[in-house]
Order: sequence, then C-alpha cells, then structure tokens
Amino acid sequence: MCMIKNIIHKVIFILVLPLLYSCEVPIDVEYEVPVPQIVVDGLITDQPGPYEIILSYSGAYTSGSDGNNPAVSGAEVVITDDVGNIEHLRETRPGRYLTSDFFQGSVGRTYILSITTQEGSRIESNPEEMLPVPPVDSIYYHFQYLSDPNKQGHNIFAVVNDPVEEKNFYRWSWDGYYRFFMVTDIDVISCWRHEYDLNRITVVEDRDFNGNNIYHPVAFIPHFANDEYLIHIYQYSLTENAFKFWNTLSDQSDNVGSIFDPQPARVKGNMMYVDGTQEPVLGYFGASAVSTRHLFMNFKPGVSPEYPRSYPVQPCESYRDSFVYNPSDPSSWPKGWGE
Amino acid sequence: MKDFLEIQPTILKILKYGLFICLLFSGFAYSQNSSTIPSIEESMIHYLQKAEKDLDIKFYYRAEWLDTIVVKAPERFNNIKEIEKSLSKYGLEIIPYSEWQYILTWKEVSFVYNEYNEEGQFNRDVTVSGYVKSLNSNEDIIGSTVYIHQLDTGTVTDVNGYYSITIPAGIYSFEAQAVGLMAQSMQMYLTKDTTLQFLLADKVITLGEIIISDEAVDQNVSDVSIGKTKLDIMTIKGMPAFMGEVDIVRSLLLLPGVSSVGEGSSGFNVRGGSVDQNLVLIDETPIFNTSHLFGIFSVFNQDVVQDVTLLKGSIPARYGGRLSSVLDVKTKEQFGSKFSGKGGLGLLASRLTLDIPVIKEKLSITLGGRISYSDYLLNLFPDPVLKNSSAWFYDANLKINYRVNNKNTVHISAYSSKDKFKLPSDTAFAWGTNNLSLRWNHLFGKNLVSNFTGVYSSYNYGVSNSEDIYAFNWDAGLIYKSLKADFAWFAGKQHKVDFGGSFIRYDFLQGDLKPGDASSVVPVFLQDDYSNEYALYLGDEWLLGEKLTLMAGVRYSYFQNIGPNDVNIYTEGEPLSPSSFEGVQSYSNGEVIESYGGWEPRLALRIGLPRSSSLKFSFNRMYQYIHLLSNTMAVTPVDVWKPSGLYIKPEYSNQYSVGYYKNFLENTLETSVEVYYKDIFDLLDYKDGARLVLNNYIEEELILGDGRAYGIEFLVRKKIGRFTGWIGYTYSRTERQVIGLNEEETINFGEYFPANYDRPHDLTFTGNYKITRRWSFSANYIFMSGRPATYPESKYVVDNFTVAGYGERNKYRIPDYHRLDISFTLGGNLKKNKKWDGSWTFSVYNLFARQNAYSVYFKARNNAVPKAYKLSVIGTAIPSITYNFKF
Repeated sequence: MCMIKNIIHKVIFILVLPLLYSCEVPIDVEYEVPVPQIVVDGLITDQPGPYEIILSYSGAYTSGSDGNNPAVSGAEVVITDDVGNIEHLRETRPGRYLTSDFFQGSVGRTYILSITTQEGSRIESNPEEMLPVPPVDSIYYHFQYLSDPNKQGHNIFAVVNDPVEEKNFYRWSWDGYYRFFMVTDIDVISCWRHEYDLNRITVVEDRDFNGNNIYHPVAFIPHFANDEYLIHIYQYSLTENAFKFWNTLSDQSDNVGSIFDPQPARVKGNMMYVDGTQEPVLGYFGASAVSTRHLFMNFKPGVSPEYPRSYPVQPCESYRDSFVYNPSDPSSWPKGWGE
Repeated sequence: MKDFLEIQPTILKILKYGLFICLLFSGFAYSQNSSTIPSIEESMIHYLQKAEKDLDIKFYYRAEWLDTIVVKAPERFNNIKEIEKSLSKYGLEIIPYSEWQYILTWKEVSFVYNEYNEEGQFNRDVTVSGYVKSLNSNEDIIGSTVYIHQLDTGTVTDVNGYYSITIPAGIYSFEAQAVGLMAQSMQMYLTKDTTLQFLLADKVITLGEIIISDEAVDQNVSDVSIGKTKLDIMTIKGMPAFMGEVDIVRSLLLLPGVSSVGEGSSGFNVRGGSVDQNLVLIDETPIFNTSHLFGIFSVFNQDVVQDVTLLKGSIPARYGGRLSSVLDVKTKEQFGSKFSGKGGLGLLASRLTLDIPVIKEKLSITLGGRISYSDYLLNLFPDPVLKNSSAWFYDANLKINYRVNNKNTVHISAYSSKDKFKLPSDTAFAWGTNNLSLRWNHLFGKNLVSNFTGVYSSYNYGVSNSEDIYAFNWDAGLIYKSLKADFAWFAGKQHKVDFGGSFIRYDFLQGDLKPGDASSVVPVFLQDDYSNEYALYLGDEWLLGEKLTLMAGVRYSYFQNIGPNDVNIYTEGEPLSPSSFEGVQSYSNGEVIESYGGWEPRLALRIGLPRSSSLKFSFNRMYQYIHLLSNTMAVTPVDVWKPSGLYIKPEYSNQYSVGYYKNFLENTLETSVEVYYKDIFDLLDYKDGARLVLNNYIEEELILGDGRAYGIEFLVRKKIGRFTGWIGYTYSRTERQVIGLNEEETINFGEYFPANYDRPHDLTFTGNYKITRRWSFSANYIFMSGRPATYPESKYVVDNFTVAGYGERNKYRIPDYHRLDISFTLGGNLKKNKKWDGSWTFSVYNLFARQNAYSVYFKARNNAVPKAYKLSVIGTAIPSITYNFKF
C-alpha cells in the first residue's frame, strides 16, 4: 500500500514538475545606443559646505561599471539665488565642481543652477526652493523576523512630527559605524567599519498623515553587523519635483522582472537646455534643508544571533571604508559612539 | 535520480495494460446516438405508392401537396385506417370513391367565402408561431430554420427555440430544419393564427460525425452580424488544452482578432482593445476576472456551458458598457427527462456536473463544480520554495430551469468561484466571484417575447502578507446589482424589433490597507465609489428584400457617479498634482458628483451575393463607464476598477468594419475576410512611474489619450467532416497617443506609440481529426509577434545610485511567441446503451518546449554589467492526462 502511494506520488511528481519549470535566461537584445546626454548630480543644503556638483555623460546601458562615465569638463557652473547672490564653482577634478568654503544654502532661498559647456550649450535648472525640514524627533529600532534567517536584521525607524500647515516631502539617508574584530594567535585587532546606504531610496509625502507623527523605516541593518551600532539619520526636505524624481528612482530599484512589474519610467529631472532643445538633461539639482540625529544602539543581549568574528588578518585600512579602532582615544571614535 | 529509474518499469507496465484494454473494446460496433432506434424515412408519395401495391388500391392527389412531406412510418400498413390516421396529421383526409379508389383532400375547414379575393387567396394575414424542439431530448433548438416553400420565405428560431412569422392565409408546406437533425415537414391550411410545433429527430450517423451545432448551416453567410463567432461546446472540447483542462476563454485566443499578452495574464484582447473592454457574461451576470490562477484555467465549467458567443464586429443595441467585445456564455437551459452526469479527473483539478430532472419536462436542475488540488501537490515537494507556495481554486454552478406553463419559464443561475495564490515570500493573493441571476421569460400573445432579469454579482479581491513587520491585509471588491427588461417583437414578416432597458448599480469598495499587529506598515484608507448606469435601446432587424438585411439600432446610456464620497479637489486649470491639491469635498449619500450620457448608434447591413456569399458592413459606437486601472505588463488579480467621475471621463469608440463571406462545398467550408478600423477617445493612460495601488490620489497618475486600432482578419473554417478546424491570420495594429497639458502628461512627445498588447501578426491554427471511431487527434498552433516593451538605453549615476535611462515607451519588442499543442483522445467503448461512458485524453502543451518570453527585464547581477533577461512563464513541454466521463 505504501509502495503504491509512493509510486503514485512519483508519477504525479514527474507529470507536474514541468509545470513549475518557468525560468529566466539571458538573451541578446539589440537596441539603439542613444547619443550621450549630460547628467547633473548635485545637492546643496543648509549645512556648511562646500557642495559638489558632478557633471558627466550618460553611457550605453551595458557599458562598463558605473562611475566611469566620461566627465563633462571645462564647463562654467554657477549657482544663483533669488536675492542676487552668485556663486561660481571651480572644477577640482574632471567633472567635479566645488562651491567655495563659505557658501552655504539657507531655508527659504530659491536657487538656480546654470551650466555653460565647453561647446557653448547652456543648461539651466528650474528654480529650486530650499524648503524647511522639521527635526528628527527620535530613532528606534525593531528586529525583523523572516522565514529565511540569513536575511534577518534590524529595521531602523525615524520618528518625525509632521507640520500640518506645510506640504512636506521627505527623503532619508543614513550612515553608520560598527566595529569588527580579527583574531590572530597572539592578538585581537579591531577596526571601525563606516557604511553608507546604497541602493535604497526612502522618500515619502505627508498627505496621508499630515500633522501627525511619522514612523518611517529608513534603514535596515543585517544581523551580521556587530551588536553595537551607531547610526546617523539624515532627513532632507524635498520640493515636489525632487520628490517625484526620487520616487521614480525608488520604483526602478524595485523592478525585478516579475509579472507584476509596472511599466518602467523615465526619470525626469529639473534641468533643461535654455534654447528649448527637446533633449533631456538627466539627473537632478537639489536644494534641501537637513536635520540629523544619531543613535547608538546596543542590540544585545538575545536579539542578534551569532556571526563570524574572525577574518583573515590584514590592516584595517585594507578593508572597504574601514579604519583602526583605538580604544584608548575616544576622540578618534565616530561622534556619538557609546552614548 | 535513483527513484526515477525505479518507477520507469511501472510506467511501462501501465502503458502496456492500457493499450490492451483499448484493443479489447475496439471490436464492438459503433453508433453515435445509441439511444434512438433507427427508423426508415420515406417521402409521403413513396409511402402511398407502396401502400397502393400492397393493398391493391389507387390514390388520387396532387403531387405538389405531398412531395415535401417526410414521414416516419413502420414498414407496412395493413389497412386504410392506418393510412388515414397517418395522413390526418398533415391535414389530409381520404374520401373513398369506390372500393379500390380513394381521393385525398384537405380536411374541412370553415371559412367565410367572401374573404377570398380575385385570385382565390385570402385577404388577411395570419401569424404562425411555436417552438422547434428535439424529439429525443425535448430541448429547444436555437437557430433552426422554418421555411415555407410556397412563399420562398422563412424565419429562424430565437434563443428560446421560438419562431413567429406572419403570412397571408392559405395552404402551405412548412419545413423545419437544423444541422444534425432530420428535417420535418407539415402541410397546413391556415385561416387564423396558428401554433405549429416541430419535433426534429436526431439524424442517424453511419459514417463520421456531424457536430450538433445550434447555428444554421450557412450562418456565416446569411446572418447579418459581422464579427460574430458562436463556438459550440463540442468544438471547444475537441481542442488540446493546457493540463487537459478545456478552457473556453483560451479557445477564443485561437480566433482571428483575439489575442492575449501571454501566459500568466488573465483576460484577452479583442481587436486592439484592452482586457477591460470585453463584456463577459454568464447567464446575464458579469465576470470581471476571466481566469483561474493567472490564465491557466478557465472560469467556465465546460459541462454546464451550452454555448459561447463572441461578438467583436457588429454589436446589437441590447449590449453596451464595454468598447471592444461581448462574450456571452449561456449555461444549459433544458427541461430534460433523464438524470445524467458528466465530469473529469485531471492532474491538477477535477470536475463533476449533474443534470437532475426534478419534474419531468417542467423543472430541472443542473449542478456543477470544479476544484483543484494543486496545493496538496505543492506540499509534496521537498523544495522549501514550493512547499511554502500555495495555489488553488474552486468554482460551482447551479442552474434551475422551471417551465411554469407554455408562456412562462423561470431560470435561476448561480455561480461561485474562488482563487488563492501565495508566493513563498508570504504574500498571498485571493479573489473570488459570487453571481446570481433570476430571469422570467414571458410570451405576450404570439409575437412578443419578453425577458425580465435581476442580477446580483460580487467580485472581491485582495492581498495579504503575514510577515511580521510588513504584515498587512487589503480587501477590495465590486458589487453589481442590475434589473433589466428585454423584448423581442416579431412585427410582421420583415421586422424583428428588439427593445428594452436596464439599470445597474455599482459599489466599488476600494478597501483599506490594514497593518498587522507588529507591523510598521502605514494604514491607508481608501474612498469607495458608487455609481448608477442606465440604458434604453431599440433595434430592428429589417429584411429589405430577398438579399438585403439591415440591422439598425440605437442605445442611449447614462451614467452617474454618486456619493457618499470625499472627492479630492484641485486648483482649476492646473495639472493634478500634490501641489495643486486643495482638499476634499464631501458628497452625501446619493448626491450626484458627475454624470455622463451618450447615444450609441449600431448599424449592420448584409448584402447577399450569388453563390453562397455575402458582403457585410457595420458601424458601432460604444461607451464605457467603468475602467480597470493597470499599468503593469499584465493585468494582476488586484488591479483596481474605477468608475468615471470628476477626473475620469467615459471612454468611447467608433468601429467601422467590412467583411466578405463565402461558403464552399455546400457550406462545409467557411471563409471570411474582415477589415476593421476603430477610433477610441478618452482612453486612460498612466504617467511614467504611476502608482495605482492603494493610492487615494489616483487621478494624479492618470492622463487621457486617444487610441486607434485597425486590422484585417482572414479565416478559413471547416465545420463538418472527419477533419474539422480552422486557420486564421490577423494583421492588426493598436496604438495610442497621449498629449497632456504639460511635458509630464505627454508620452513619447505626443506621437502615436503601440499599446502594450499590440501584436501585428497573429497566425492560429486548430484542427481535430477523427482517426478511428474512438481515437481522435487534435492540435493547436499559435504564432504571435512579440509585444512591445520599453528598454533602457543609457545609464548614469546620481548620488551613488545607478539610474537606468529608458528609451521611449514601447519602442522595442520582446521575442516572438509561438507554440504547438497536441492531444490524443481515446473515446469511450462502443457498446450501445451503456450507463457509463469514459474517455482518456493525453495532451502536451507547448510541444516544442519553447521558452516563450513573457517579459524582458534588465538586471545587473553581482555588480557585473547589466544584462537583458527573458522571463518565461512556461519553460518546457507540459504533458498531462485527463479522464472524462458521463453517465
């Protein structure tokens, strides 16, 4: 009886198995490589400068790794505000233009970025107002249980009291510090790791909770980070156009090719050619006020599972974004550690 | 895989045993309709001549009275009395002239002598009406022709098997005929309105098979409608099907002019229309989601369905509310006398249907159900991804047919279905339909057929996630309540007038996003929408001459979007956006927020041409007031239905079509060419990156545009014979143009671009061949151009984030789609009068194991250069076995 049931199971298995064999395979696609377009990547804030505006050309989609796109060099880059101030930026490295040390943005001002390329093309941004941003009220964290234990970690939330009389759009970013250890036969070497958020864009508009507190997840720390963690949360104010820009980028990163994917969207920035050419200017020139808050988190005991502590021994600096931890010199520690 | 090798011998054993059984039973004699005793038919004259010889007598009569009468009779008659009895059925009597001479004459009728005019004809008109039924099953026969020889005119029975025709009083021979049945003739001497019922017997099959269809033999050429296809359930059952499951909706994809976006998407596209532009009805109740489990299984149980009609060209005035097509599915309406059942067992799902005659000829009930056990199977797999997934469905039909009396019948139809689908990531989708309709069919006098119908339909859908911090629950639904009255008036010999009205009340319950207990999800409360849709229509099918038929109709529809609702208000004259948002305005219960209305003329003209051919023209204007919002590649089960209102206008279209039809080889081969052009206005489209789900400000994501669709469809179809099937080719384009108030609201610089379901080439073939009396083989082949897609063309960096720069919307195409399916069916054994009839079907879906692209997307894996990937829903050939039975 058992054997027959087994056989029936196996027959069904074989007949039903092909049904589940849907798949994804790489294919060759022929598509047009467009004329390279100018990309503007820049943000000025109300925090002390200097600020960097990066100008580059877009590359073909399947070209080499990112960050190697050709720079737009030798351009004249100017920021003007609505009360007549003019700031000329200077090119410090190819494609990278820096403001002067004492230029600082302020809330309420409206800024325009003007670019004149070496070839004489003139690009201008829409006036971008630097809107005020409320402070980050507090930060809290919550451990996330998942069916796959390797993907568990802590969700970090920002709590903000949203002003009711304004239309607020928010963007958050963060960076964090933790220590990791290397154990040798004779010694324990510990290093700081400074990590940034990459590939995560968190933006929200306030219409659904206007005037109330926002509790928004802004970061996720995987479980393998050390059980002590210092996080800095940066909260940016956005204009409506800036919000739309970042929102579209955020959707792009969610696209995984499933049958429920929306149509891919072209990201529209806020810059255009002065002579009215239809060709788009990519990227965004943003002006945001920033408020920050940091939190030193102690995840232990009991919530963070085991993690490998020993790595091959090499100097701290040879690891990405790492530097030496000197226990006897607190001034070298990241600001806010241990509070 | 050691286990696999172990069971191989077992599989071989099963196959050998099966073949042996086949051979054993193939020796039995075969008869198609085993329930009838074969009878001898003769013409009346032949019968009389025989009797003359046998009895040594002579009859006197006029040949033209008798030469069309066909009689069922025993082999010999022993005396005059028996002959007299038989003849009197046809209005004749025998007057003995002498011992051996007899004169045939018409029975005495009383009439007023001075009603004759000069030519000896009556002055006045009489109406002949009645039902044409099957002698064997007592079912009403739809589309049977009733022909009057002396006048060379006739009519066709309607959906209830009822006909009515008005002619001058006189003597006529009537002949009722339908495909697959023996014709019946009657001679009648008409002086007043008369009811004449016909009973047609099944034809005895001696070779091959004739598919019983409820269409006239030359329906293709003689019907005035363009673009109408009636698929009888037998044809659909003969096609190879995915996992052995006969799917009515997927069979439609094999017709020219009908396509879909791909496996995994529910819905279908007709003549360049989106999936929400098809009005899908089952016994007058609407179906908003036409598939189970993403288009893999049909929502219609093949054993309860009587027939399926797809209207894509001329659409009569009694239908409205969607732009592109009407799919009208009718379940069985019979007052049977025998208890029977049908069903099937498949690898993933099984079904059972019972036909129960409660009171013979008066009250019958049909009960059917289907259920899948794919969930149980998924659980058997060791793979954790599969184990944690879940997919199942059920559906059930109930039909009650009650004949109150000769003039009144009542039909109650109920349908219920549910689908559940869960991904291993803990996200579960569920949707379901619950429909109920009650229809009272009443005959006023002889010429006016009326139907009064009440419908309740509830379509619900939702998503939930149980994963801790992301836990949420969202349930939405659409409630549809309607009352309608439809009349068909057989007014005179040249007109059939249809008129009526309907009222529909919609409740769009958009649901709320409710977070789970430990969840950090922000709750969202969505506004519900309510609306009323009214319609009145009037149409006439007018026989202008022998070869000219005109169908002219007009429909007036009116739509109101009503409260209670809190409607978003934006600054006048500015594009809708968060910055022009001013607040909400509250409307109370029943208060009208916005209303729309329009006239919908419908015209069709048929010109009969010599040698079984015709030319048809049609023009339709259609309005659509409810819309399915979806900007995903395929319609998902949780896409949102929204009514027209302050910011969403009704869409409307004008469709022009011309067709040429010709039948060959005595109507066994149908061919047609149809050309159409459609202009669509106020089509909804979406801004780049529109977020449609759970969005209280959804109008900010929408833009209105126009569309145009045109195409040419070729079809060659063989309906009778050992080999049946068709081959169709369509070349069509469907494009959109969106020009808004600003750059954000304009797509592709305002130029025409292809719609998501634009598939220029569509070649389909389906065929069924009866190899022997028990074995049949069928195959489907589909080739379709790849659908449009938007690809990234450039790449750049903003704030350390790599951005893909996409080209224009739908500028590219994914790879072409083609697929071959085959199936073999072993019919039941050939004994007569058996209680249980079973058959096995073995089918292979996607025989070439082609990985047809569903979508193409771009991803950078492991920080390497991004590449294009193709996602296929079906990645290989899929065999299946099904056992079907009836008793």
